[in-house]
Amino acid sequence: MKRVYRGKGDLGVVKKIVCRCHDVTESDIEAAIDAGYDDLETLKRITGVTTGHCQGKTCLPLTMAILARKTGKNVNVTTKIRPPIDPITLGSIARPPGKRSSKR
Amino acid sequence: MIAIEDWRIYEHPILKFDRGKEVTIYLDGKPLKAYKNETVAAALYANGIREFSKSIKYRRPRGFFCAIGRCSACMMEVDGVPNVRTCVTLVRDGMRIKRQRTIADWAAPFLGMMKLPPLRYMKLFTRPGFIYEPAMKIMRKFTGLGSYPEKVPEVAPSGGYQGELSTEFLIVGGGPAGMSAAVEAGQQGVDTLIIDDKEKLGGQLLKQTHMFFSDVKYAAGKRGFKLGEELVEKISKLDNVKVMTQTSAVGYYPSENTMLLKGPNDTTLKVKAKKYLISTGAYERSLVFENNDLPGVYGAGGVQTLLNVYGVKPGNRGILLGTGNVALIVSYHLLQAGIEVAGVFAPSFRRVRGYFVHAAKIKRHGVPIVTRHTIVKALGKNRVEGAIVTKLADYGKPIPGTERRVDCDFICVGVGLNPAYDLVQLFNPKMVYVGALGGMVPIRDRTYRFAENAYIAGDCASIEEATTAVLEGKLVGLYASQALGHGDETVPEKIEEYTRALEEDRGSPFSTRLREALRDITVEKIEEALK
Repeated sequence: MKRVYRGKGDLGVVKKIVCRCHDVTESDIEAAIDAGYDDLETLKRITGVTTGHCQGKTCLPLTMAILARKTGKNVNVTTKIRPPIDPITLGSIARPPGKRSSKR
Repeated sequence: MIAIEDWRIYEHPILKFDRGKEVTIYLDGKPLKAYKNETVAAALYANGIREFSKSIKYRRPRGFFCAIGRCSACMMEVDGVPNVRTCVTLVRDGMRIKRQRTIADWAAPFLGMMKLPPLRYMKLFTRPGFIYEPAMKIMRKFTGLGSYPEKVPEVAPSGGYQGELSTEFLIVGGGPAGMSAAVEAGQQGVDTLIIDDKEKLGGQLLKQTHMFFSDVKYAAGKRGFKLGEELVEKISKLDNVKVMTQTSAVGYYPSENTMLLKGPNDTTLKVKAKKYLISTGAYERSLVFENNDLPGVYGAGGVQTLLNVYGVKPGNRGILLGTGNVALIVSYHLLQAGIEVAGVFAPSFRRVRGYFVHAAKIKRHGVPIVTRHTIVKALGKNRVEGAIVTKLADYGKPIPGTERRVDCDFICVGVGLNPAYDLVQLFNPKMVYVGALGGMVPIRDRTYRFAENAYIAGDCASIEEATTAVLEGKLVGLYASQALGHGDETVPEKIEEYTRALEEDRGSPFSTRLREALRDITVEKIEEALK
């Protein structure tokens, strides 16, 4: 059974940051793995790692390494990648001002 | 008053910096000197500003880390728009830059003192339901990055969606591999489009001031940025190769065979291509140690960008972490610019893994290469003031009691690269983790195809060097032109020549693991392997 993880991994002064975007520390991730979130997809959802502005460009390999070390399993997957992989504004996918869609 | 502190390099033995004309930018209302060709982050850095933002939860100071728009540490409010990545935004005269502050800046230290968790509005006050909405309004003030502008800022209107384009061969990533592929495919008459997210093509080549020395015929004896310039010139001579800079791929939709690109001035466009080449390179690896987010801890690529593209000193005395060529080459670049290197700390045993030539070169300059050491802590409050390093026992465990302090004002993390996995994965390939190749890579066939219509080359296929990336790119360019029905009778001949050169390049006994790994993930027919 999964114990409740309250996001209280790291309250001390020592901060080893894994995810810069969401300030997730090494002990946050370790606490979450101890609470039973021991695969990448659930770990991502509970700690917020890899979901920041950079979309896991620095933290995903680090998280995979911590997960492999803690669980002893071979971590052979990354998180599911979905577009957009680079942040874009809503304005940029809208039609330019003045041009109107023919199907209105 | 204009700040007197200036970290720009005015004399460099090899490079000349084209900074453009002088402009003035304002940080929180204070005028600063900048030059037209600098990014906001480089200009601020040159004026001695190290702290760019506060982190989202603990409100820790952050400077920039990667300097190429890959991380989130340099986000500031520019001309009223919050969360702008300042390391890829060019300065403009009269630009107003603000640090993003919230109430949380003063609240966070108190919460930390009381051992309370940082405020997370998504978890607190969710029940009973009616208090969530008003509580959320208050909680929002205590967390997060920038705040919404009160009125719509006066910025250039967004360009919007620009329509659809079609081409035969789309190359994503204008580094050594992408440019070589564009040259070869262009020469065979393929309608090619090459995109890159920087202002000009060249990728990491533009930052390399050292000579390559592997194969004389392809790249050796040339400095990296010269090789880059040569390739750019070759591309500009080909009429059927179109170049789009400041453009990056944000998505690929297999069902429609369409790639969505983000262009300059907030525009997007769709491109339908018959074949794609993904040569997006690699992301920098980071290390987990105490205070690894302090301003002054940089990726090796970030230091190279600052140093060799913008001509700004990252500090006066630094240390390098890492054992590979990246760490050795960056320390050489630092020495060239007249910056003291306090040591290269390598976690490997006996000797560094990088080339002997590079190691000897920096040893001659009196830089100690300390093996069996790693960093445990970065010292300093708002910027790096020193580092604690420790000796490693066998199996990589630190030996207690061997910690010592090294004085430095920046720490450069050069522990290697991870292949860029994200765009590749949108093509639904089969990914495997291969340590010898750097990380998650797709399986591919002999023609470097990893999906039905997509090829891979360069560092995102396997972490190697520029020469192999050039050769891989050339091969992919030829294979793609063959597959597209172009190409004259010289193509098989050329393919054979480049393949042989590539084998020779990887032929050294040091590359045994790499060769075996590449053999393991190369299949005969990619369509069958993907079923």
